[in-house]
Order: sequence, then C-alpha cells, then structure tokens
Amino acid sequence: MNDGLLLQGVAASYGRRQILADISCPPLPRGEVTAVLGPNGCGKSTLLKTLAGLLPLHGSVTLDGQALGALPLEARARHVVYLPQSLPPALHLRVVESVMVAANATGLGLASRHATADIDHLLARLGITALAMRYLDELSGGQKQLVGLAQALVRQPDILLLDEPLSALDLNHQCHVMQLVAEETRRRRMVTLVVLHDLNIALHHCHRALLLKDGAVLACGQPAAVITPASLASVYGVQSRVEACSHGRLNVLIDGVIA
Amino acid sequence: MRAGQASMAGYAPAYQALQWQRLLWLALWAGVIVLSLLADFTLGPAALSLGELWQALWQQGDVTNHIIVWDIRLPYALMAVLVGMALGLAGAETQTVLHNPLASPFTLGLDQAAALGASLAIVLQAGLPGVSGPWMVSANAFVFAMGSALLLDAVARRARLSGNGVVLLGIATVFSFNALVSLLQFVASPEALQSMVFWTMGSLSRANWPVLGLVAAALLLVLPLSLRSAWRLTALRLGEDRAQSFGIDVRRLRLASLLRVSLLTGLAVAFAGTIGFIGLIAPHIARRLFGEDHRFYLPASMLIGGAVLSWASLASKNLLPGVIIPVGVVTALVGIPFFVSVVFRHGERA
Repeated sequence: MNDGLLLQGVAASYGRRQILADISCPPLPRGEVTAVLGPNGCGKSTLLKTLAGLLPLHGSVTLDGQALGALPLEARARHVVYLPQSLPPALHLRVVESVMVAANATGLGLASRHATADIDHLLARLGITALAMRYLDELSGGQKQLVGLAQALVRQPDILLLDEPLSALDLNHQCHVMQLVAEETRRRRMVTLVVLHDLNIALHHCHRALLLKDGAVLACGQPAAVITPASLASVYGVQSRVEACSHGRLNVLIDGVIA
Repeated sequence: MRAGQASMAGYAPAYQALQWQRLLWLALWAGVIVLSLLADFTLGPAALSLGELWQALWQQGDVTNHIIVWDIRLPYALMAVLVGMALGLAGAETQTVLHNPLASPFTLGLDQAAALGASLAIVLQAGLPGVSGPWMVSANAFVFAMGSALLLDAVARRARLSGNGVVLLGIATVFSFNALVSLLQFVASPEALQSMVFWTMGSLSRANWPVLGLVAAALLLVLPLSLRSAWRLTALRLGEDRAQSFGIDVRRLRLASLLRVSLLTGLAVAFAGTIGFIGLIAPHIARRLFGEDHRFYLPASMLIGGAVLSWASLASKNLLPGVIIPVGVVTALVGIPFFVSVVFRHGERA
C-alpha cells in the first residue's frame, strides 16, 4: 500500500531564506516519471537537492514506507541519485571512467566484474558504447546527458532526480532522452522526478506533474489535470490553451502574457 | 548520439590497452627521473664522469669527489626530485578540490605563509618553543603553511565558499602575507635581509640527509592516502552536487586533501624555500597525458613534478658557468609563460 515516494510537509531553506514550505503530495508510484514544473526560482531544484540529501530536510520523505530523511548521506545515496543540469567544463575524463567512478565512488558492494558487465550493458542500452573511450569534454550536450544517465543508473537507484536534463538539447535529443528516462524508469521500477520547463514534454512523456509556485505545491496529479489554462495563468502569468492535436495528443498553446 | 547502437564493438580491449599504456607512461617518467638524477649527480661546477661518480659512490678514488657526491650532489639532486614530487602531488590535489586549473599551493598563499614564518625566524628570531638553530626557520615555515591551509579551510567552510571563492581568498592571503614579509624586510638588518631574499628565491642548497628522509617519509605517508581517495577525488571532478549525490562527504574529502597538501607544501617550502609553478605545471602535463582518472593522474603529477624540478635543478647549475642560480628563479622563468598559456587556453573555452 505504501509503494512509492511520499512527501509530507517537506520544507527547505538556504540559511534564513525559506525556499520550500510544506510540500506534500499523493504517493509517486514506482515505474512512473513525474515532471516538476514551475517558474524560475520557485524551488524545483531545491526540492530535488533536498530529497537527495544535499540540503537539510525538514518534514517526512518515505520510500515504500521507509523514512529516507533519517538516513546518513552515504546510505541515502544507495537509494537516491541526483543529476545536476551540467558537468563542469574542461573535464578530461573518459566516458567509461566517469561511469566507473559513479559505481566506485562509495561502497555500493558491486564486485568489479559485475560492475563492468553492468556498465557494458548500460552503455549499450543507452546507445553510447561507441563513446566509451571518448573524453567528456569532447561530447555534445545530448551525449553528456546520456552519460549522466549512465552514471546515475549504474548506481541502481530507487529514486532518480534529474535537474533540467533537457536544457540546451535540440528537439530530437529531448525526445530521445525522455524516452530513455521513461523506459528505464519502468524497467527498473524507479521513482523519477524530472525538472522541466517544456510543458508539452511533460504532457507527452510524464505520468504525473507536480506544479510549484513560490515554494509550495499548486497542483499534483496527472499532467493533463495539472497543466490547465487556469494553473498556467496563476503560475506563469500567461494566457494559454490546452488542445488536442490531430493525433489526439494534448498540446499547450501560449497566446500571450496576462497584463 | 545513437552511433553506439550501430557499433557494438566492446570498448574493454581498448580500455585495457589504455591502462597498460598509462602504466608504461608512468614507468617512462620514472625512467626520466633516473636519467635526470644521473645527469644532476655528474654535472655541476666540478664535472664528474659516470666512472668517477661510480667510484665516489663506493668510497673509491678521490676523497674530494666522495665528499662532493655524498654531501652535495646526492642530497641536492635527490632533494630536487622529492620536493618536485611533493609539489606536483600537492598541486594536483589542490586543483581537484578547488575545481580550478590555476589553483596550486602557490596561488593559495601557502608558500607565502611559509615565507612569513621563515622571515619571522630570520629577522626577529621568533620561533616555536624548544626549536632553535637551523631548524627554527624550517619549523616556522612548516607551521605557518599548515596554519594558513587550516585557516583557509575554516573560513571557506564558515562562509560556504565555492572552489573559486577559495582561490580568491587564497590570492587575498598572498597579498597579505607579502605585505607582512615586506614589513619585516623593511626592519631587517642587512644580514637578515640577505638571508630572507635567498630563502624566498627558493634553493635546494639546504639539502641534507635528515631533511631528505623527512620529505621522503611525508611522501610515503601521503601518497597511499591520496590514492585511497582516488575514486572520490575523480568523482569530485564531476561536480560537487553530483559527488555528494554519490554519497561522498565533500567537505570532509576537501579538508583531508587540504591537510595532505599543506603537509607536503609546508615541508617542501620549509626546506627549499618558495619554489613556484611546479604545482601548476606538473598537474597540467599529467592531465594531458593521463586524463583525470586520479588513480593515474595523482602518481603522474607526482612523477612529472619530480622530473621538472630535477631539470630545473640541472639548469640552475649549468646555465651560468660556475654559478648556481636559485632554482626558484628557474621555475618562475619557465612557469610564468606556462601559467599565461593556461589562462589563454581556458579563456578561449569560457
């Protein structure tokens, strides 16, 4: 009954400045991708960092009924992986090594042979075997995102947190990355939260959406129920329509800003 | 992006070959150090042939040669290698934990802190209780370098500074310590002033066997600890948030690393004065040749640091006939253009 990730009264702050207040939502089930939406500065990244243990957590976060907040960083890292938006520049490290690092950085108990086989398999699944010997600083933005995904997946997490993985990617790569994220989430029965700005990507590729405004939850549920003209007017201050295209898929059309 | 789907040729053989190639490169650099040491043993104001060197080593032949080799040449040349190794390893760790390719113990102000400690001993005879004579200057330099690193870390933690913030703080401490050293120079006697200037230029002439033992022991202590952190340090290069998300206590990792850096730098500067740029040059060459897998990057930086300072030592003895130029002057002359080229290269990327 308690399957999935449950947030209750989650709060977070940077020093004295409160960023998140009383974030609660219905359980986010395993095998599903949740889009975290909202305008700049509303606390999307802070929420992900708090769940990953990078910021002090107030409130309750449970996975399948187990409290994550009480776990020390290393123990929590066995369940949760957070991938920031980008890698540092001028990183002269080979792709395969960067994935090995993720597996070996803290004792995951992966025997080296098992880890190597897992890395082989992962790179093949993500379609980046040919990049294995390339340096990270030679890759395109899309290729780096796939490598980041491999770094996260090799840790076999229960919760995958992706902070704006599609920023700076072209349309083709956006779709490709989101398809892979959805596939791996389903296959590995993970709970995945993805910070997104593109509402149509959220409508097409995510099972749920969590809409934040000023550090609080405005709506949480199925994307079509969350992404509505009324909620977009309230959160983004825009006039919009959500209409089905000729294939029956919902799309957000922005008509302008609300004066 | 999907090229890999077409090419499923495993990378394992290529990666294994790369590992062997890196081990070969490490052995090659060790060989370069041995050759450079041999040259450093034989070349100098009194040139010795390899045969004379061999005889002197085994206490045969000329007694003067025996003294030159055992009391001057061997300590001097070995000191160059050991101090270079210490500075190379310290530089590599500094650049990693501060995420800055221009960071080094020198740019963090550790050398200048040591210079201030040494100057206090030289000018005011102010030193640690119970330490006197020739050890006072070195002990002061070591304690000031270590204290400066700890202070820097404490301030950075309290103010929650990023890697670049720490570098800027380090630059501020460089200017502060330089001002204090200048003040001491202003009030120093002519003899003390001469001694200070010579010390701050960086020189290997204070090398002797007990000092060599101390620096070697520090390296033997630090290198295994550094290598034990190799995976974590490599993960840190992927970014602090990502490393922390992998379960790494970044603050503890950084503190442990800065302690190792200050031990190596403190000892190196305590006995050889301020020798700049080795901690900058060696990691850059290592990064280009070995990449940033710290299992290879750290030992490579160490070996390259040893080789570069050994070459600088050779140059310092042989550039001007009959004169030994302070080795710090040679490393600065080579290092400054290198530093500028690094700035330009990274400037292009920005």
